Amino acid sequence: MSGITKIFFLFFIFLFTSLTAIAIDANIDRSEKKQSIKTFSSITKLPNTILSTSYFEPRIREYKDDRYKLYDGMKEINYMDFARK
Amino acid sequence: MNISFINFLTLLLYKHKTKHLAVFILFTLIVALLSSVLFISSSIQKDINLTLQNQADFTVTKIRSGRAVDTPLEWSDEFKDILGVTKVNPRVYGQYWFEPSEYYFTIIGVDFYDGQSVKSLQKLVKNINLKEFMARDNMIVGDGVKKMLDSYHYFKYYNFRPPDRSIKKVYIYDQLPSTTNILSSDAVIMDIGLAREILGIDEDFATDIVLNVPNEAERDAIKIKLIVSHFDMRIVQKADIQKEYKNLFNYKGGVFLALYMIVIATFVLILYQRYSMVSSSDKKEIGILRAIGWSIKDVIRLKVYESLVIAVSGFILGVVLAYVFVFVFDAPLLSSIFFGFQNLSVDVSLTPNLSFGLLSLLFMFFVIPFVAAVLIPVWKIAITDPSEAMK
Repeated sequence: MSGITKIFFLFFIFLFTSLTAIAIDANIDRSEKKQSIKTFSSITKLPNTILSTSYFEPRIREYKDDRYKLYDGMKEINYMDFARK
Repeated sequence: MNISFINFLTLLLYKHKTKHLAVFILFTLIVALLSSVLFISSSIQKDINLTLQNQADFTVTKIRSGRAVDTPLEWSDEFKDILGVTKVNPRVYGQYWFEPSEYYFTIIGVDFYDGQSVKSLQKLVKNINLKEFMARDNMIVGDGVKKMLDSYHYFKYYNFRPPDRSIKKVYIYDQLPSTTNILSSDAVIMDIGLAREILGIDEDFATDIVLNVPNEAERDAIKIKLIVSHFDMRIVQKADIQKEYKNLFNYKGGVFLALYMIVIATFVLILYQRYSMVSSSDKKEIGILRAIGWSIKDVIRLKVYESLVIAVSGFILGVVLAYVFVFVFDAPLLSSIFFGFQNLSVDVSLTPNLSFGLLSLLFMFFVIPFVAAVLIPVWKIAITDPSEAMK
């Protein structure tokens, strides 16, 4: 095996080791963090993530308006209901 | 593939190092950027899914002229009477304008007589003594709020200005753990009564009302009951919230994906052109290989391996760099695209989320077009007559 081939092999070993390292890191148990996120949302009962929006933009988002669900004929088209069908 | 073939392949790569290095660096950077965006998007979605598990099935808000207004508490008594409905809770929250910095905080009122909330708070803030907390006006602040108050020398308390022009001195009791920053960075938690006073919400009102319907089969019927009970209300189901957040982050990730589609298309075109304009030495090289007995298949195999070495190594390095950038350095600048940057600075530690599906998607996006772009021009040269190629 020539010197250059050895360098290439070493480079690939480095790459695959790094890939394995990040795969291991991604699978480390982070249940404590997950639990604290769950606990916080159970206190506030709000699902919203921090959105660093302007004062006039909704920080806590308003969701789909279901008022007209009873009356099919009066369905609003602003949520693209017509496109989904 | 024998060792002499590998030796020859690496020697060829080394010989054309300047040509390959430029492609390798460009490829790595593009993969790293797109992977970063997709990693951030998938990490946030994973955390949001966690928070949604604890959400109520329905959220009811009073609407007037298309805008949300304070919801009367008497509605919660009405909802309690509907069979199948449990855990009816009024929520009090809202934005408070912090004049010195012209930013706002999110004040969240918590009912400290609700056993479940107290238990959760004790889990989250280890040293909380509820008696001491309730003895005076106290608050627990998020990381971003604490930093902001500290920068204005409000180390122990802050004077809130409720709408009635009075001054409400509220002491900082503790800080929320930074692990919850994705939800709590701009949050201020205080007693529900105090939150009402500061936000100017009357005693008989709340921001909205949440309720649960444990039996999934009953949800549609109860939703209709809720709709007909009052016509000036907005009802939001948990599934809608899920969809809304998914759409929000998919949209932001999708915009990037669309932009990168353009970038990768340009990159592939450049590659195609680069490999099409083969120099005379490259032509000679292929001609010699053909003259010494290599078949067209062998030449193409050599070139495919050559481009695969560059593409796969660039792909792995790009993914590793993106992972380190997003989950070790918490994606400076890029995370602002998802969280925004117009209010308090967002200092979130993103939870690693590396799925096989995501990696295969990235692989399909980059490596396959890369190899395809190289293969066609190489095949064109390989089929030329060796004596022609060496002229």
